[in-house]
Amino acid sequence: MGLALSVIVSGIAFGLLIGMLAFILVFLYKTTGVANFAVGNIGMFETFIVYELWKDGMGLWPAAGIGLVCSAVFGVLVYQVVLRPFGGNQANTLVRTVALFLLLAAMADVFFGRDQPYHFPSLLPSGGTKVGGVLLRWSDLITVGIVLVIVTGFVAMFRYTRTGLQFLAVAQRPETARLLGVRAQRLSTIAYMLAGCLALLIGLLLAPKQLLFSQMMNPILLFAFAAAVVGGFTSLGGTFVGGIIIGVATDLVSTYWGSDLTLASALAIMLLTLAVRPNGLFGTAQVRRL
Amino acid sequence: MLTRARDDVGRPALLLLLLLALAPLVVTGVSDQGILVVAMIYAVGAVGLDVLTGYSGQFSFGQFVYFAIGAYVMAAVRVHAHWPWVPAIIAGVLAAALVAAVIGSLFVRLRFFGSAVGTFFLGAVAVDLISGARLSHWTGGSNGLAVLPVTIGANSLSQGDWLYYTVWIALAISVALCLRYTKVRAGMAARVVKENEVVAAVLGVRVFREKVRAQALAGAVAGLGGCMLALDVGYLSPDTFGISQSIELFAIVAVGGTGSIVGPVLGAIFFFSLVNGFASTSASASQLLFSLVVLAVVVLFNRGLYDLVEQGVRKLLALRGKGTPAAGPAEDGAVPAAQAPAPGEDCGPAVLAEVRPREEPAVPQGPPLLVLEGIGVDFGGVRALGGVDLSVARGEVHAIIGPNGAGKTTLLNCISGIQPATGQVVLDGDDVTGLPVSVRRARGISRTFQHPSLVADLTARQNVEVGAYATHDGSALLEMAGLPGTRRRDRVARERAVAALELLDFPRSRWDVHAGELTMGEQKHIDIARALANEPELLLLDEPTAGLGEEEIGAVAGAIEGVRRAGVTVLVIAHHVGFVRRIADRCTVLDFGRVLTSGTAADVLTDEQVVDVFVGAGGKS
Repeated sequence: MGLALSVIVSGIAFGLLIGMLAFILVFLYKTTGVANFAVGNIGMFETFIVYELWKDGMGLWPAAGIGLVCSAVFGVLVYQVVLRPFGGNQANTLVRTVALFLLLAAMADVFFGRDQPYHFPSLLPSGGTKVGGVLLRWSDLITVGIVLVIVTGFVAMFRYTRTGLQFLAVAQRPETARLLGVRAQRLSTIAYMLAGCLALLIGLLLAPKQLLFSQMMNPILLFAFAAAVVGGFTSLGGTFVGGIIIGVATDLVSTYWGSDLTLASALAIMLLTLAVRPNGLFGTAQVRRL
Repeated sequence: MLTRARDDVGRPALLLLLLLALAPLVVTGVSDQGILVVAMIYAVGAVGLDVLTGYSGQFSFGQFVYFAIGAYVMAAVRVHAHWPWVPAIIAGVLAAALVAAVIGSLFVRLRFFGSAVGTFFLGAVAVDLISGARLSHWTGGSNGLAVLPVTIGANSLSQGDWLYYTVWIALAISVALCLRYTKVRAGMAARVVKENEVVAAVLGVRVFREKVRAQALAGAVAGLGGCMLALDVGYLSPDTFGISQSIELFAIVAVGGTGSIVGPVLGAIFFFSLVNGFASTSASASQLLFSLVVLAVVVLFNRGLYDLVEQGVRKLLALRGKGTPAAGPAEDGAVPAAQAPAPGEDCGPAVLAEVRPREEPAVPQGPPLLVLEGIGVDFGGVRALGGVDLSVARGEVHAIIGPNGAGKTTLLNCISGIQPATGQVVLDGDDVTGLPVSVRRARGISRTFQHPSLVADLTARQNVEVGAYATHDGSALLEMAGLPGTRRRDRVARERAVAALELLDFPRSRWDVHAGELTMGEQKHIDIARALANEPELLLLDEPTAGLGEEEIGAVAGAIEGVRRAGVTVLVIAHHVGFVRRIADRCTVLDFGRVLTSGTAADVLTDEQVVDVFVGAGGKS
């Protein structure tokens, strides 16, 4: 029982990371209209930059700080250089994100990957405490805290800032918002800037747990897709609920049934959700005009 | 991406296959031949992926799952069940097709985003399952599985020329199958599905089934590719079938050019020449170069290599300038938009009436063809239709007019079965309420759309042919075999399409022009012809005049008069008062989802209430 509870707790912490990546996916989906396959690898690549800085003798925190600035710039570049020019239709944009996915993995291999995988130093304290026989790791608790802070920040942005309101408007009615004078490209640029920073954060929290290498984000990207579908691909808040469901379920499956079924169980949950509630737990149906 | 799909690539495909057959004469190095072999193996699957993406508009980022199924099934039944190699390959292909059909039918329910993510997911899960302990008895787990040698006489099919030509034959089979698919009804129907699923359903196309068919075909040829891969590598390990390979395969199709069958083959050769050209320096450097190329292609010219080659050949031919047009209806874009058919009495012979004779009704009378009783529709609290009663007499042209948002299109959707509603729809005395779209079409209800969703890369005539099939049921395999029954069916569809085009007096010079190059007026005509080709009892027209100039409106009016003379009942939504006055026998006014008034066109159009509703529009006549 104690083991199960410990697994659940660490599943929740991992689930929140999944939820955060799913949140980025949905956030970008709402502003640019495609499922962005490159998000995970953007985080991976940025984490490599921090790693290189740290390896060259810089402190971990300053390196992370510089990495965050780079990530913001990187996010803007991704949108302005890769996704925006000669803006194609949805399918074209989707393929661009896939091409970027390949490119970033190849770049990481060529530039940083000679001796991968690497051990990555943790920003968070190790160890933990026992509450009623259940092990609570500090890193897990802090992860929960960080995610809560970020969610609060986003809720505040959506509710109280002009830009945040514009995001909601674009998400609800892209055409109408554009006609009302919302500058969609500016919003997309900001969205990618924020996404770049959040992706780095996920990379920094994930790398100490599972080593740093060019393919490190593939599993969590899949979990995040599943979480987004479970939460409803139109619901920003639902992604975290979806993330926790996927995180806990896959943690339990891999602990008790074996790790070869982890991804399969996430896929099964995703398909089951689609069968029972095609729009996810919190999503709404999209009406299409003829 | 998702560019023009072509059905005229037979000769380029043959040429490329011939070149590949002759290549060993020039490319003599063992390793160079090896590169071509691997490229052709990928191409076997890439061609199928092109059918999936370029022709049916679906995505797959997990196509190597089917490579894996083909390879592992083939190897496993030989090792464990001691099957000879020919049945083993057939088993591998069939297993891949079957799994693709099952998985496809799960994923086609997902929208655009869903199937891309779903297949990507599946690719990762498959690797886990193959390498995991659960299937290790069959797959050898992460240790892999040895492929028993395949021999004909004393010659091993796993090396040298025998390997090369075995793989070449597999590629030829794959290309031939996929080319054939693009030519038959199933391939055309899939392209309508790609364009617009709702329109496809209204034309009687089984949307779900056509998508699954494309999945199964793509899966089958991927399975064949997998068997060839097994021959080539001789030893199966899970890493051979990862998600990176799936994504590379998709990138190969994107770089080669979707919707061209030949393009993906070019893409595969390009990819492997590039990757191996740099293999001496570093494998990851060549990956980097390839992903840069992919990105450059999708950002800068997303039509791919095939398009580039095609344009180059055209320019060359044009330079030769021997008067031979560089082929392809696409060139006809330069032809000035032909005059729309003249409005008036000289509408073509009523060929439809010949096919199915009917008395020409002088005045609408007799029992009504269509009766609507209390049709109601709610859109989450908004009452779009609030109990509409309507009766349409056999043989009449009945116009529905009303301001924007009055519920006119929703009413047509209820009649054609796209929109569930309360109330009753009675056609020719039979209650058709609750029957699906396809059944209502079979009972004689056809319709057009406000925005004519024609397939831009099919010709005007082909667009009409898709609508001309009495039913879209039947086996795609039989269609591809070209049996006499299928041919008869295709011929009937062609004849009906010609009859419909002639009835509408559509200028012959424009029949074989791609729909994307037609004027808006012509597109509206083709949309009507497509609906008419099914020889309906009742034709529903949704704003056939929207966005047209006076002259084109006259042409549409002439067309509708021709349809009426052929004995088809017409229910038409229109805004243009002059148009309504000219064509309509009777007229119903909708406002806020209710019938305001109904009567002869002349009475209704002078009704004061109606004039009030149409302030501004009333003076137009």
